[in-house]
Amino acid sequence: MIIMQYETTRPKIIILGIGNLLLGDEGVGIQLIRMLNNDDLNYANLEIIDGGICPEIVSFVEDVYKLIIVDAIKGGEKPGTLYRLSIDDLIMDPSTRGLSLHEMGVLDSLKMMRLLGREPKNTIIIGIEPKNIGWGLELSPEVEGRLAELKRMVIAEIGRTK
Amino acid sequence: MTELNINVHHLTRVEGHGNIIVTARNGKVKEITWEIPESQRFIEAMMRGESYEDVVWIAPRICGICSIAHSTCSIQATEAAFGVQLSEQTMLLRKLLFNAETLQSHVLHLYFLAAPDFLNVGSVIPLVSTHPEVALRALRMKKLANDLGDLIGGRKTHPMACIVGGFAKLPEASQLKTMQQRLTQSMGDLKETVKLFKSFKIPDFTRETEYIALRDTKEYAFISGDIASTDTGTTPITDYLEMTNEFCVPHSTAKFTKHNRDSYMVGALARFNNNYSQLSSEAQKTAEDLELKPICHNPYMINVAQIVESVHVVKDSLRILNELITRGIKEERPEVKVKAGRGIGAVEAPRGILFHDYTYDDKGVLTKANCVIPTNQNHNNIQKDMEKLVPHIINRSQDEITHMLEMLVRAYDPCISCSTHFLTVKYV
Repeated sequence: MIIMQYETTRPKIIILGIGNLLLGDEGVGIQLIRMLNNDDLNYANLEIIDGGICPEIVSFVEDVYKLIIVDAIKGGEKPGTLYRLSIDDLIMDPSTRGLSLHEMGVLDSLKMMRLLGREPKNTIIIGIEPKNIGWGLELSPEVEGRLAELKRMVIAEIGRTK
Repeated sequence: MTELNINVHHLTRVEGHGNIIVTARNGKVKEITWEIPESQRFIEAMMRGESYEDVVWIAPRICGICSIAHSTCSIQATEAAFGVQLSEQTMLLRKLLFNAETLQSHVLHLYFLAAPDFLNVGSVIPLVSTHPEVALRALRMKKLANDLGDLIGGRKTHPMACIVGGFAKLPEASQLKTMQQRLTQSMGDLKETVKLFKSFKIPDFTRETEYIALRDTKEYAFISGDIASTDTGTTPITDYLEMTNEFCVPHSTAKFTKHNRDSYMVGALARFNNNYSQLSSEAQKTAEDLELKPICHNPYMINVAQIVESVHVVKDSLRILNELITRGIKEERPEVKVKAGRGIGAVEAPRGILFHDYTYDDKGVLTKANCVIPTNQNHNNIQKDMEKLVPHIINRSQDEITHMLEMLVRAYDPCISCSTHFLTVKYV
């Protein structure tokens, strides 16, 4: 975990990267949060977490105003397509089930948080359509070429909270 | 004519995918198969050609639950290859970090994966509604373990502070003291955990088997020692291949193993059966309270052994923290001199003994690797357990038999994602 800044004057934001770095584009969420640093994120009370392939995230997320999850998302569009989803896109609409590659772990965790009254006020999932999900450390050119835009989307999400 | 067809495809509440297939006619069993259909992982191939400095961060990404075990085992294999000597402080910090993972993994398994079976709820989600205090306790304990891992390993999961020869980042004394207080306070939650599981009815089933785990003459072993077998005594970790004897079966993408018998067990119960006398007195009292005695041959008692170990690692962590605070944390610069050679690491991951076997060239580039995963070593034992269990319960309803088999597999806490990936049951 990297604590970028910590103050309590602003509502707390967590940026949570999810994915397996060993599975090519599947690790894009982790690759993305590794690109974030203090200079980009002018926001107090921000925590950036490398969630990797941990099966539950509830114990990571406590007293959070906004949770921004960054992950590979299979939406059936062409590789490199960017997505911005709300929690309701994942939970309320059955047609979107199976969208995030880690949806079951994330969804179960979010459901638990809701039942326990620990759900963040806002949960946003930002992701990208993968091309290659297979053993390898490299991102596909289609995904790597959109990383800068993906990063801008995450930063914009922080800006919306100011 | 009575037909029994069980086909549990992709068993839930285990990591990865596995199937249970049972076919019987008129009370006569035709087939019992523990099937692992997951696609194979090519971790070793991926690590080949990488520098030892990169292998360090690739290894913990193998698994999200036992990332500290893979990290530690990988680092110890590299250190063995290079002949790196470790400071006492490094060993203490490594043990402390390892305790964090054992606690977080056991809590996850006991509360999120195993408890729903005993409380008659389908998963942890309804458990949150019906028993919120239980879910909150589980999350408190898991958070504590995650935070301890974060303090020493630099992250809540997939540690980055652990490097060959030592640690890239060291905790401060004040942080250690805070953690000491939190761990002391957690004893209340552990007592409640014992109370909860004491109220559960553990299935009565026994099958004698061989138990294999690390054994250290000085302590309850997690990251040091030789390989111990309840059948054959101790063997140096350099001879691990003589213990594991991996082989392929048609119904599994994961390799199976055997040693002195048809199969053997690794994990919490194997450690307990081999090393009971080295548990802390509190952990031994917990075992007595939960009616667990060595040598226990009931695989459903793996859950209970995990509780006993949870108590042990919290007490052991308090001991280590006290020692670190008393000694004072000292800045150290790990000295690593690269050389060509082979090294073997062995640790007790939450699910059992794990081996990483690396060969490096003189530039520190990995040329050969072999990883033997705990769940792979348990697959054959699960199969043999099922073969004994099913004829005993064949007259029960299909739902009851399915439930018993699912609980059996879950008791092993399999991580099929590591071994290749997971579990399903077929009734035919």
